[in-house]
Amino acid sequence: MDSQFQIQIIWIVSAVAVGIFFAWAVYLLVYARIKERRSDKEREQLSAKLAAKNNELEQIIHITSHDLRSPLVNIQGFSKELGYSIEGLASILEGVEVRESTNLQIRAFLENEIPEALQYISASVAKMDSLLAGLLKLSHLGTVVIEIEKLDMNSLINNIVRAFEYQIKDAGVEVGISELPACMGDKTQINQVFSNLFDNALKYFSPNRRGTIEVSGFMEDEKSIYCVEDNGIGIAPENQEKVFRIFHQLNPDTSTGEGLGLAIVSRIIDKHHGSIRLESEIGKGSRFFVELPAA
Amino acid sequence: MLKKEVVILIAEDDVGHATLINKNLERAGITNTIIHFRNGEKTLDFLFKKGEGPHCESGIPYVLLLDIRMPGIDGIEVLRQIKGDERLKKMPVIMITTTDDPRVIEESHNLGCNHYIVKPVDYESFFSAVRQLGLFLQVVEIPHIDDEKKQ
Repeated sequence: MDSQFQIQIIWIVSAVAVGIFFAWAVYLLVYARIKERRSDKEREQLSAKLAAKNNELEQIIHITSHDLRSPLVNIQGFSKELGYSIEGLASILEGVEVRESTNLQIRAFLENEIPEALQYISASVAKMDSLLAGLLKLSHLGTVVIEIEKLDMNSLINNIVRAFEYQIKDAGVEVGISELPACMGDKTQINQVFSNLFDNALKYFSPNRRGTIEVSGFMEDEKSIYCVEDNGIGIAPENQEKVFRIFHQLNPDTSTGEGLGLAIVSRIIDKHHGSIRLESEIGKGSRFFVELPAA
Repeated sequence: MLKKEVVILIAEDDVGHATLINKNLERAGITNTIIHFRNGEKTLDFLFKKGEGPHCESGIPYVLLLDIRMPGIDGIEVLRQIKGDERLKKMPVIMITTTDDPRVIEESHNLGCNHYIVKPVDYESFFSAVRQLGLFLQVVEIPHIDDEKKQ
């Protein structure tokens, strides 16, 4: 009997142990599911919050850049009006007899000092306007809905080359395009990406040799990777990451844009869940690699 | 009956902008009477003959240069009320504004604005835009506001 009792006890203990084990396993599973669900929910809430903040930020950029332009219209407009008034004053003084020394003093004001001051005002306004226009452009980019479709990149790049025909001829640049794989993207925005890369390459050619731009592409792990290569002045390693920042210009005195081209490129590619990287060597040229979802 | 001269109404909260528009219209040879309103309310009071200020008169052709961003009633709302009114809807309305936001431009056109000018910071383009406006005013027959038609 004793041994039977022992067996019974062992059975009961084992059954309880197995029961506890199963209960524990079920508890762990349920807990994990709840946690997963909660973290899914939290993630959803967080990304909704992030999207709302992003939207708000874009709205602020949009409104402030618009409101800041309004006073600029006055600064620029009335500077020009002052310019007209000075021209008027100068022509009145033509017919007035004044002492030679006084005349020289007046002329110095009317012909040099005031026009110089006005020129600085105008140039600064134009600079500020272009920065604000850039901000507006970026904020528009955030609000545009993208339409993803299969893109024939051979025809897209050829169209860009045609659009840049004048600048390419003017700069005496040789352009080479290899067969390119298709990708998935928004036609207008991807056109903008490669137009900006072309524009950039055309801006920074070396005066010492004939410029070339090569566009090539290949597929790797469901990605279409494109390379825009130039033999321009190149970008120093310490500047390679900075070129994608908003309003960053490597040569602010010689370049004409507002320092937005590559910032826009990087933003569009982000929206396409792609990536961009740069290889460059001073004096040799640059290679921009654009990675987009393959078609 | 002598053709009555067009009266130019400018609805613009920024006095500086209104002055610049004025000066450029003058420079473009426009000598018409110009009335300036500093906000949307005053513009609507004048056109809908409300409140104590001056009111529009029947038989006189008006053209309205309308800024969009004004405190209180904005330009879009002013445009909406004008184009929704039988008596006023034929009056040409030209939006003159700093925004080149395509959505705002589209909304203005949908509401029935006759022309849209972006106030460029670049003064030369602003000047040429206003000069074109001057030419437009010289060649276009502006319908006058006719109270009798309504009755």
